[in-house]
Amino acid sequence: MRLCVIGNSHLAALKLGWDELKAKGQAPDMEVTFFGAPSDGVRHVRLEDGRLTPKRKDIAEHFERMGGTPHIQLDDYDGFFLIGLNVSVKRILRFYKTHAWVGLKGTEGKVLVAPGFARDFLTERYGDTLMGVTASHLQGRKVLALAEPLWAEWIRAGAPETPEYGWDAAITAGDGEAIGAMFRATVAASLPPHAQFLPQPDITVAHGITTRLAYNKDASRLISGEGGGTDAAHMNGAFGQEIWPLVLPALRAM
Amino acid sequence: MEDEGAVTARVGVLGGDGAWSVAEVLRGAGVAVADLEPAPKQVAEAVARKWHYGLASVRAGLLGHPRAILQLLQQVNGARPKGWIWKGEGAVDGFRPEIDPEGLPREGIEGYRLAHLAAVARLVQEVDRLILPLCTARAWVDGAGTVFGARPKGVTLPSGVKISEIVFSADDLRSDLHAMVEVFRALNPRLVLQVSVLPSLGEVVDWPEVEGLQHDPIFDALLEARRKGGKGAGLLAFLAQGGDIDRFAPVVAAPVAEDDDAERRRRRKEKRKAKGDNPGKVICEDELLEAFAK
Repeated sequence: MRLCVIGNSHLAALKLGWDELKAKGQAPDMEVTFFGAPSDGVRHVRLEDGRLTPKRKDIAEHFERMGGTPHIQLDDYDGFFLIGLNVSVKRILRFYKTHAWVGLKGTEGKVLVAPGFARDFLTERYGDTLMGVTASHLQGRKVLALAEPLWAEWIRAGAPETPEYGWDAAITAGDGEAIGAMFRATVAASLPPHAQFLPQPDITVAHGITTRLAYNKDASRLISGEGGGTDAAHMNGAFGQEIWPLVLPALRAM
Repeated sequence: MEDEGAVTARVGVLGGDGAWSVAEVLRGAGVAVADLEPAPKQVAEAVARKWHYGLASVRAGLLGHPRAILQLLQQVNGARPKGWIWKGEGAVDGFRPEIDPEGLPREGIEGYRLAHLAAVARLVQEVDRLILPLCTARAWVDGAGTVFGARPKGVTLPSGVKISEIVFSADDLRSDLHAMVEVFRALNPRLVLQVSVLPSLGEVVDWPEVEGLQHDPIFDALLEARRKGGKGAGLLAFLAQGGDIDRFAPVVAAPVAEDDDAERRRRRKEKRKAKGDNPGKVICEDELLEAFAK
């Protein structure tokens, strides 16, 4: 299978994991090409004549450097794997600061809403992300979607100069698992019918909304060259290695 | 010098969330109608409307009947009538069955109602003027005289509860309106109450006049006119906030809430831009490129 991987910085963990699996001779039987742009750079891509074409030079340069061409010729691939693209549990955590749905425990001082409203609200919001928009460009093709990894569990203690999304408050209240379940359900529901959501594997998840330390270890050193423990958002190659065995079966089942 | 025509009252709307929303019409006219059970700011309009957010100051449903409003206040004061947890696809609040298009978990519905009652209590304390849309003398009533909402299709009542639709007499309506005013006064003596009589929400009723309740036919006519796209936004907003019509001087209408939101977003964006790089943010570009440099 010829697979096109499109994503933002979270694509790095997949690339590291892929390289490690290949080195061990354990990579799935796929020909993989990566196209990435940092942050929301993929927003500047348009569908034209069967190609995804960046409208900004720097994005085209990123594509060429990673994937070998400045654009993505859709017919060159049998399947597409979208990663990150602004789909994150942080959106629910922001919601959870002011609202809680019936059934959650941390409701004090919040507007209480019906679970169905929370589901509709979040589904609509996730559908409006770069993930939803990019998936809609790939109508009629096999599309698998993986959200941004949950942040590393050490973020519960907080970190200087890092936004506080309320991970610890949610977990301490006993709502981590329910929020994680709502995240998986609403992201899956937000995607167009031809796209399928690939949840972060259970083995990597801690407390429902964070990633186990092992998958973040050295991520900041490996990925950005910084010292360890400074980046809770990005994962290491071990995380990528957990993802890859799930990709081919999911695409074949579509 | 203070503008004699300026009005600044905090305005709430209790009920009227039915065929059309009084609160929405007022917001469209520039009135900052209080919202004590707000949806998240980013909610799409269709989602908010489906779940009855923003259609009144609290998600109490249509109300529109003095007994329904009176009962709600009595519940704020601790009354707990029976027979209100109906069964559909999940539990349904029989006092406002139209509000949530899907049922709720049975074990959570009492807390959900208490949270609503707390919002009603805050509303009564936090606004200066409360507009009460009235639209019907009919109500679904059980044997104990408790008024419920209209039972949706597929929803069943608890065993032993029977409701029937009755038309309240003028005396009953007057009595309920009196009692309602008294409860409001006990909760917030400074609160100004204004009824809005809206046949287009229900039926024509000869509403009795009751001390302590204001009623302004011009306000009602302006509401109806604005609902149909007519003019008069400035005057409607002025009257909604308690302005005296003899002092009304047409001015440029206050910006509506949406404009304020857009302005706030623009300022936030400019602030972020001026601030430059946030040292705390993840440097995504570096991370992405480094992975491909290996």
